Amino acid sequence: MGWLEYSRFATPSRDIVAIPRQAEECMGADKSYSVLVVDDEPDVVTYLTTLLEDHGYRTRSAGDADSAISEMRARTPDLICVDIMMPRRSGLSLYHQVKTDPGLKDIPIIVVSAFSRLEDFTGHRFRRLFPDESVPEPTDFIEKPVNVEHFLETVERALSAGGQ
Amino acid sequence: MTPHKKKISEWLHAHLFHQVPVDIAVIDSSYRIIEANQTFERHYGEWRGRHCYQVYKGKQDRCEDCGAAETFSDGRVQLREEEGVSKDGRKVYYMVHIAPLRDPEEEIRYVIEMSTDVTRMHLLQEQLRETEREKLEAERLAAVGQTVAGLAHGIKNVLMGLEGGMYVLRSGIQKQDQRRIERGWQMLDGNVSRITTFVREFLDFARGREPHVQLIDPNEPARQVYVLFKDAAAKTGVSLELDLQEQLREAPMDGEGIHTCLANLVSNAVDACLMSTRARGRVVLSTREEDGTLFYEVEDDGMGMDCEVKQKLFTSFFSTKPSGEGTGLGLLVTRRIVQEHGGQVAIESTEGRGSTFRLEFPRDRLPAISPPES
Repeated sequence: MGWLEYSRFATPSRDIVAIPRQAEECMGADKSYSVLVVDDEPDVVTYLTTLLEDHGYRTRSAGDADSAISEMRARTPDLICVDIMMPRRSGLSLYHQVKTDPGLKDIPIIVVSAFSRLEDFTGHRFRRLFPDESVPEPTDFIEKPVNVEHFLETVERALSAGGQ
Repeated sequence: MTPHKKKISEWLHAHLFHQVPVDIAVIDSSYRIIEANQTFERHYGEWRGRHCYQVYKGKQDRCEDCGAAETFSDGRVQLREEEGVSKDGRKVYYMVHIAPLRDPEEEIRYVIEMSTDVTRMHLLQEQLRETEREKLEAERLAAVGQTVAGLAHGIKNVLMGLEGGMYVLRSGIQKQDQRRIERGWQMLDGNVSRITTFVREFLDFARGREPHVQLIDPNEPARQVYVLFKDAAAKTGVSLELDLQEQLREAPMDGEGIHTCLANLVSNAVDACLMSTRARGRVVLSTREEDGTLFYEVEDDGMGMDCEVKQKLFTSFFSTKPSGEGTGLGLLVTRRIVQEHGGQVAIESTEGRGSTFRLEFPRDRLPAISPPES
């Protein structure tokens, strides 16, 4: 079955409907925020960056924690979306490093993970992972697979809160 | 004997014999009780003129495995645990010392049985065994729960890839962007084959296999895994070493299962060395026994793990290997097999220095030998 046949079956589902023809429909050029997507899965990176770019954001990406750090040192993003489970260094370790770095700690971070117990990253459970009181809880969480509308809303909310 | 001494002796007989908190009975060679103390009577009721098996156990015939008969024949003192019935019909467990009473000609005319009721202790022991069984069952159920959580995690990742592929493909069609269409199609294609592999591996895992428990030399699976991996490891610059404690007693284990566990751990250890910054790696597979517990250890000087990785090791289909190279099933399988053997997996690891995975099997928790296949 070629992709054209396939596309007949892939009818728009609940969260894959909103694809604006022009990015500007959603975001004015003046509100072109930059988002850094950190995930070891190339498909996830492609998905989220495409989605964000379609909605007027500028994006950059990194496949692991160390290259994410160099990316954000080179140019500070307005928002970071980070996966938790990654090879070599986990997203939690990256989170800790960013939140304890004076130059980076104010960048809002959204955790995007397939990990189902996201409540483990709030309240006293979060404190157990990060006993260091100066490390704040993440701005928000998104569970994979993402709901497109919810994801875009969360990104927007995180950016407007961060911009205040 | 002076009258005074006689008096003491009578007093001793009356009090000591009757009041000691031990049941005492004297039995003749026809297994009739000819004397017993008051404590005995209180517990077992009327004994005069009756046989020991009637009084102790409420039986009509002599016990097959009769302790008194043994002592009559070999004259040895014995200690055994017996099951009997008290005078109110309650099941009792008692520890009994059986000793010969010899006449001046050294003939054994009687045996004396001194028993203590250990019913409470016995019940506690039973409870303890039951608790132990329940604990094992709970551990197994917990493993199943975590496995299901892990499955959900793995599937969600693939779903994310599929949905991403659909988004990219669909938007490519709308925008007439050939490059995007191709990329979206590639994502769909990749994730479909990924879920196929995943489901196949998971089914293998879920189906598992009935553990086939036999008495085996605990070193045997380690030797086999060593032979299997040493050349392949050497080619990648990792030296695999074998350090066995010789002459370990045989143990009831599923040899194939243990082989799978060790193969998983050795394969992980070699990978950990490859991901480390050092040029050459070293993996040691060892066995030993300490205080009734069998240990298998796989030690590497590879990349080690940070504490988050350690925490997540068994909670999901978690793999730190680049995507496509590990499903994260190896350690889950390992843990399940180890738990089926009543054992556990212990981990020591320092980031950047290496890791040790230790399988611990207390001998008294090992499974029963499987019945022969028909």
